[in-house]
Amino acid sequence: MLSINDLSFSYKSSTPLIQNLDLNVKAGGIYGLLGLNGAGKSTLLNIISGMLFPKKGTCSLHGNLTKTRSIETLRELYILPEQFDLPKITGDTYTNIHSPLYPRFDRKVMNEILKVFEVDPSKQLNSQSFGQRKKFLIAFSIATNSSLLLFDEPTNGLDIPSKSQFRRIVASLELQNRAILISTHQVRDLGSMIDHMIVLKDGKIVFNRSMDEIEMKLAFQTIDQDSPKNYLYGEETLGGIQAILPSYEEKSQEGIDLELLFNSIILKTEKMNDHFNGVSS
Amino acid sequence: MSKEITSKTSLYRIKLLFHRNVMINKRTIQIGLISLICGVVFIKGTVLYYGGISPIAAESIITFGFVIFTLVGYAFTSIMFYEKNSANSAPLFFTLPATAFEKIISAWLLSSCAYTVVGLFLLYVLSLLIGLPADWFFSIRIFNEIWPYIIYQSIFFFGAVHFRSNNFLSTLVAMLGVLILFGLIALLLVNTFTPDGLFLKIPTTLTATSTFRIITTCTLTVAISAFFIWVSYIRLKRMELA
Repeated sequence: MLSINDLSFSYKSSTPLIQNLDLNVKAGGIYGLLGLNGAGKSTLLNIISGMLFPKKGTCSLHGNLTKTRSIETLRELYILPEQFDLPKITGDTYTNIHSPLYPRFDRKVMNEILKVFEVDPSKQLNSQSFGQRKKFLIAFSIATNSSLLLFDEPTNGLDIPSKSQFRRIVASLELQNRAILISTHQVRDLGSMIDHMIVLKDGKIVFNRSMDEIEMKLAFQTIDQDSPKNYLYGEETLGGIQAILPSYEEKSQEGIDLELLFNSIILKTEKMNDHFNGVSS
Repeated sequence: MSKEITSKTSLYRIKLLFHRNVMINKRTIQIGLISLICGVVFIKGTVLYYGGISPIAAESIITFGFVIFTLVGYAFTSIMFYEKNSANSAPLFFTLPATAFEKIISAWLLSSCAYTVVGLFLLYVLSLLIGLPADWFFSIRIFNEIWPYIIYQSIFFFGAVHFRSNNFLSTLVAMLGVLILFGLIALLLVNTFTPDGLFLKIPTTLTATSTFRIITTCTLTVAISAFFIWVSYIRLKRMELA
């Protein structure tokens, strides 16, 4: 579906922000794009959506280069930016004037999500809080039925119940012909929603694995400070050490701790990848 | 509603975008109309207060009306692409499923065609309301006022696409800059290649019929406007997020 080959990008007169990046996104998955602040996540989403042009390499959706911003591309992707302004119109008017541009727009789905989020579409969008506007746009983006949804920090600005609702809505989506790429630095917010984890560091993808593979190769446990266990990565906590262990040695006590895994990839990139690639240290 | 999925330029999408442009600029259009109605009431009141209107005053009011029409038109044109100027609104504008050409044409139809028709109609109504002679509306004068407006409007249209902020002022300054530059070049050429320096001798035998003049002016107006719409399209197509 989405294919990125040898992509490099830099803003004017600055060092490359993204270098020789390769990525393939297939239909049917929810991809978590994680990285520290300034890692290039938003820039990558802007390149995918055709708003920035690669300096080198290609980015194509269903075989069409995204930088051409052709109808074929634009109607198959929807980007929810982290920050956005909406026109001074009601939610209903916004939907009426934009939905005909998306050939598979589903008004029923939109209304259902708005109901869950408790957003009133008859109100002026600019008079509502940022969180309400974001929920409105989340509902609109899902209702477009575009093949690729790009969410940039979707939970920023949402209150705690709305974050859970968002996770539930995304998890319940029929994704046979669609994919969702969620960019965030708030790893905890993704919960068990994603089925693929991509980590961006210094403009490169340093980790790109399915959650099934992660579950198969890693075990997450809290171990004693003086435990003789040989762990791949650990963080000291009050109750001991939260550790990531090779799964052939241990079974997980808990589910995948995304935050711990993310930290391990950022701090021990090589070691973690070696483990996945079967290289013994 | 039928779903338009053609990838070629679509009249349906242009219509949708035109409607969108009207809706998102509704507030500006409303403010413009209310200001105009207030202006009419004010002028009508003034005319009534002074017990009538002289032909010279009538001419001045019509000219003033055209000046307002022109300035408001340029200002309105300059805000046509305000969405792309802000990092917060640009993503939703750039990724709207329509081609750059459709976005350009729909904005031009509103800022140029619709505005000109509605603006002139309102000027006509205003003339009638304040008791001015409205025959100017059906004379050659309207043509003489409109063609330079359309040319400059297309330049402001390009400015609306090209500049990232203060589009109206930026276009005005850029136009002045270009005029000064060309003026200086022309001055230099004239001083270099004509023996009498600045005193150009315009041949008195050169005359043009009214029809020829109108056809030439129309052709020139269409050509210049089309050129600026085309460069606006190229600029928008190649534009990236700021």
